[in-house]
Amino acid sequence: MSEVLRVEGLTKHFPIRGGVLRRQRGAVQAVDDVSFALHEGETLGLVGESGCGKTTTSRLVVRLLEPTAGRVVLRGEDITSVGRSRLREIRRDLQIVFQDPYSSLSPRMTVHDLVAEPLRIQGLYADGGQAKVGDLLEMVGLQPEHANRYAHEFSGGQRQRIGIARALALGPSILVLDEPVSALDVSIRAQVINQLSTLQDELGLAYLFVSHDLSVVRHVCDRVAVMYLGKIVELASTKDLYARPAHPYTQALLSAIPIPDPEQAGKRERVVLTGDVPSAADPPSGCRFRTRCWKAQDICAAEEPPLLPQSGEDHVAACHFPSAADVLAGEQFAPAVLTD
Amino acid sequence: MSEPLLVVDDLAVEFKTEDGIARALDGVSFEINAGETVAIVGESGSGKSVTALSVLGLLRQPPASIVRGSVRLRGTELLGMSRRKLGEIRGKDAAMVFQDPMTALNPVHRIGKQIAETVRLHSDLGKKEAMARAVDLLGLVGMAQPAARARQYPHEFSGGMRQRAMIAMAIANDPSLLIADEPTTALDVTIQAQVLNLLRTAQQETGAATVLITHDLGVVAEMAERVLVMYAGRIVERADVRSLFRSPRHPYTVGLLESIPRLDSEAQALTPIPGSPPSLLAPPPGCPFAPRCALRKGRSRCVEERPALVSVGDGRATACHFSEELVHV
Amino acid sequence: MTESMPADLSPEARPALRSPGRMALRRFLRHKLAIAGVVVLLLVVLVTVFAPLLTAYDPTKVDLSHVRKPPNADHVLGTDGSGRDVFARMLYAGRVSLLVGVFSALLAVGVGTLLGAIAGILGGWVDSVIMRAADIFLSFPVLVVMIVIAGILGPSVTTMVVAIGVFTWPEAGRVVRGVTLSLREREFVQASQAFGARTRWLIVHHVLPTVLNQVVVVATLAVATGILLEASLSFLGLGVQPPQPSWGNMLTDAQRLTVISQMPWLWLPPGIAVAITVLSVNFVGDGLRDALDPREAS
Repeated sequence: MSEVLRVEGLTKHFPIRGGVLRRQRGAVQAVDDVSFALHEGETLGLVGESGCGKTTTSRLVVRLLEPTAGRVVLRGEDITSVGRSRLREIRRDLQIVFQDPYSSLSPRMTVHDLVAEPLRIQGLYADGGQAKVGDLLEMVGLQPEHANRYAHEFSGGQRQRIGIARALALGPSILVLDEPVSALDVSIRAQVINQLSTLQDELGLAYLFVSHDLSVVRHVCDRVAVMYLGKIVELASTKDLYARPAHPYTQALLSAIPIPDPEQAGKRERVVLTGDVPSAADPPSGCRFRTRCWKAQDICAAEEPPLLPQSGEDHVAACHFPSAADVLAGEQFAPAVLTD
Repeated sequence: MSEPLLVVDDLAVEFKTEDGIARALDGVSFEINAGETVAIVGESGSGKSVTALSVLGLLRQPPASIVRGSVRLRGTELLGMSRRKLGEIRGKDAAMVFQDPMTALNPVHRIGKQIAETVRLHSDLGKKEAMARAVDLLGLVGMAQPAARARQYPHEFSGGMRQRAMIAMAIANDPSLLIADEPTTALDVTIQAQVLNLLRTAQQETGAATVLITHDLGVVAEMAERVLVMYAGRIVERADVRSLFRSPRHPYTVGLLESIPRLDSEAQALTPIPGSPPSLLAPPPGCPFAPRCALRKGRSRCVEERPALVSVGDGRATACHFSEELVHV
Repeated sequence: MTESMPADLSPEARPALRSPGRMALRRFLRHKLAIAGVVVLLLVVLVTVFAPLLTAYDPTKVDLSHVRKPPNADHVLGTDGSGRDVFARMLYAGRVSLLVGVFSALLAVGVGTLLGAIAGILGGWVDSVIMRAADIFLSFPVLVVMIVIAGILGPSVTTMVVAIGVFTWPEAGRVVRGVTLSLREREFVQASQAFGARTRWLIVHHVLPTVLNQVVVVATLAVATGILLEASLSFLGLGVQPPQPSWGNMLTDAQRLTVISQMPWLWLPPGIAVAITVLSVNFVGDGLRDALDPREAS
């Protein structure tokens, strides 16, 4: 499978300014040295809790934010600091769907205008644009006759579809999806997930799927990267990540998620992480997870663990003491059990 | 069999909106027994939050108006009660935990003071004793250094800590009924696990009956003994948690269970429920789920006649004309 | 793959077409005072426009044989100190007041919108400079400044329009800047950027339509301010010069106690005219503000 997008050492520090002269006093290290690759037709998941940097990463990839350091490489071309006109061309290939179907669609534009906007911006509307909008709406399961309605007349799921149709208008081959179903009702999520799946098959799209919902990610992604406090802590195929997670944070995450099965409830070992996520402006030295990790030793504070290969193909984890365990099946993984 | 703690009978609530009158609750009846944990599951528009707010008299009327029904806590009718009397019950006998802690926490007062105030409102304790109890409670809800924390303001707390503080406030006076409205929806997964644990602790400490309102079936499976499934302002199924998941008896429940991606299973094609939840503005005469129902198979009874919530044995009930067809051998 | 939408859930089943414009109109129509304001304003405009049809008198014609006559059969509202018909003067004066009000508002809002949008989009030192300028303009007592300007440049309608416009732009400027700043963070603006939209596209297609609502409200209220300022200046003799009538300079006569107490027909009509017009404009502005409230639109 050929690589379509690669991210190398991507870093974003937001300066903290203070004082009368607004001098820089520090920085929020939102994303720190993140690297991954996306291949043609695959779905790579980027998961983590709030503040882990996944949303910032998604914005960096499509260059809605400028990285502090690192590179974004699109089909072999370094697009990190490419000029404005080339960037406009590139945007035809790399698009983004936002999380909130309510705020990502202008309340002042009809559905037709919303979906047509990318075409108009890029000067592609004149030639058959109207028909194309109709095609796009049909492609996402909406009826073209509704194109002259306003977005607020539609439900959340339909609005998200409008957002997807819009993102597809320029014919991209890579879609960054930022929590595309999180804001939707539970019974609607499956519709949109299935739709995305179908579109991927029909159009040969590659997805970067950003989400905090590990259940959805399991169903949608081929490979998954887990982020914590700006860093990737584990990266593996979906199968491996859910069957043999190696990083303690991943294990804790998987154990913490309630499973909709009463028989299993109470049977799994559940690690409840103590404390809160440390501040990204002042992350812990060495391994950033060490302050909540039950395995932490001196070396964890002294040395930041690199992403080391684990058993399993292309499975890496950033931990000095990784130990894979089938958390979901109830395999014990934490020596001192920190449950209730 | 002892008298149930809370009895809600045929509760109906309407909201005046720009587009007309919305029927938020269309005849909801259920009972909560002392000490049990019941989950109310539903999506947006199902009426689950409105139910909770109605029980505690927290609905702003207007734009809401309680059209009919009764809510009895230990036999005492709560609807129509004076605000003063409701105030005596709220915070003491019945308490609520909200999705957003900042609805319950005053940003300009220290946390300890707020909890102490709740205690003093409903007891004879003096200032010092109330504050001591507040610190105790903060310790009980798992806050490290509770004495120091008590002197802090809400904005100095993280989201998870604010939830703990709110839970501490809710259990301060040993309520017999605790209503938690989507207490973990806005929280990260790891924090959610902490808070759910906390709720369990809270329940053990107080012996309170807990009503957990959520849309997350995982949380339901983890926490609840009994489940009420709501759709479009009505209860469509009622069952103990095991039976609900093992053999659901309403097509909406079936649809939900089949459409949610599961953490513990390999990727399979999800079976979505087509369409979307109905508008509450003009409730149809028949079953509100009919347009989306896979079980309906074109039968006209579903759109003509509203299915009542009928008992199907073992304490279970369902509102579906054809629920027997869902029984698997 | 088309998902067939159940009939009662599709947009057809919803009530009327819900364009933002129509929803705003509905909200506006709920304001009785605003509707009253519109009606009164329309009347005022019609009456001043069709003044020649409503009165045969020339508002500037002096007739010293009929000085300060109370209302009678010939002169509906009496005559003023130079024998001119008060009713006629009042009608023609309305033209000036409305003109000044409208044009000064347009100028103020035009300048304010431009500067506010630039400040909001470019940020940085440009923003700081523009905002400090706005503060400076706001800190001047407008009337005093205009008196000075009128003193230096000589009083005239043009001077007034320019002076009022130049000093009341900060209001619109602040509003537009605020809206622009908040828009920058809105996801649908980011979405447009993700499609490769340039700044000009963003301004034209996103900033301006959003800003328009607020600007309309500010403009309406600026008209009221303009009318009042014109009246004040003309009253002081620094605005519209006689013999051209203006509601303000019709009130100049009323500086004398005998006039005030014994000749109410000289000052009551223009005073009431100003009051009613300004009130109506304010009511309409209030109605517009509620109708176009940005919180509703999102």
